[in-house]
Amino acid sequence: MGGRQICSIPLAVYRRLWLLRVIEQFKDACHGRARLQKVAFFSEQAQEKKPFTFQKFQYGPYSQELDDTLEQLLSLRLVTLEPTPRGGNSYRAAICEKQPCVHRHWLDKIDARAGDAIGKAVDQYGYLSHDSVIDAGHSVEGFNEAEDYAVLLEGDIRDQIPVPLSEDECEDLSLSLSTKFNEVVRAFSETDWESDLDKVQLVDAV
Amino acid sequence: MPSELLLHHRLEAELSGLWNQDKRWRGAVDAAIKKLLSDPHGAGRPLKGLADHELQGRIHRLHVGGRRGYRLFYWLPIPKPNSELTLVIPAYLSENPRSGFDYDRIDLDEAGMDVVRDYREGRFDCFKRFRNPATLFLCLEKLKPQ
Repeated sequence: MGGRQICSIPLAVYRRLWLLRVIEQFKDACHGRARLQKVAFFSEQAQEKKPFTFQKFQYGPYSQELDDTLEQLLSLRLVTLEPTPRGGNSYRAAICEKQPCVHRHWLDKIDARAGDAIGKAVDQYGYLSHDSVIDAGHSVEGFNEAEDYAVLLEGDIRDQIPVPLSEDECEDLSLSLSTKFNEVVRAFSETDWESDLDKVQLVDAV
Repeated sequence: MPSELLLHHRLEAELSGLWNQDKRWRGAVDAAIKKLLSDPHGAGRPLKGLADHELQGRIHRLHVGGRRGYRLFYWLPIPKPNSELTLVIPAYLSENPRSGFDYDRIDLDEAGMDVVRDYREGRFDCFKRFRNPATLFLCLEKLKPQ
């Protein structure tokens, strides 16, 4: 902890950070949403803090929360999702190259073991063929016996997660990964504030 | 380069609420506004790690009333080449002191989208410009709820 104050960040922020770390771990990009879901499942299975709940779906463990978090990262323009040459419903998710990499290192700072678990899961499952990835998902212990949509792995983090960061760092992290805040900041940057300034009353006496 | 505050009426009302709350917060607003107008780049800290690197260094966070106080976010537009002043645009004042709010739950208008919308749509009467802190303080005093 390095003597740092323990503060907390919202669960939603931790999820974005965690998923960024998973996508960043791939050498090029993560090919397919199903692959991303399975790698995330195996990463989470091997670690103490569990940000997402996974249920039994046709193609293996699936987390709606993870899918929602991916959408948020797309909206933040931190991740790109492009169709692959395979066509159909196949996509590749990658960290947006134009973005600074500051977020990718936050998770390792907060929880290095999570980074290790993600690294191992990507190495083991990240580059298998599509069918092998699905098979790995179907081979999860208890998967075949579970009913459809049964919970296979339950998220266990409450609304806030304590992290070994300073309060300023927590605030920076929470805001920089807030989709709403980024939207507002972008709108500020796209506004020409100076051109019509003389139309606003200058108050120099009351 | 002199500074000018472009203040939306919502922010003005929020600052006035704090100004008129008690002596402690009046002092905090006094100090924050003076710092903001005298040294906008040094008053607050630029937010780190924004998703878009082109936005880095433009949005600043100022503590109003110290570390446990309120948070005031303000925008510093890139000045045009012939510009003679630094424009400072407050965007968002937290509704509570730190630890009493969650950044993930602010809504877009609270965070400043109404400021952008009113300006872009030409509702200039929603804004006032200030160069002198004392003038702003008089306005905040006048807004005191009856």
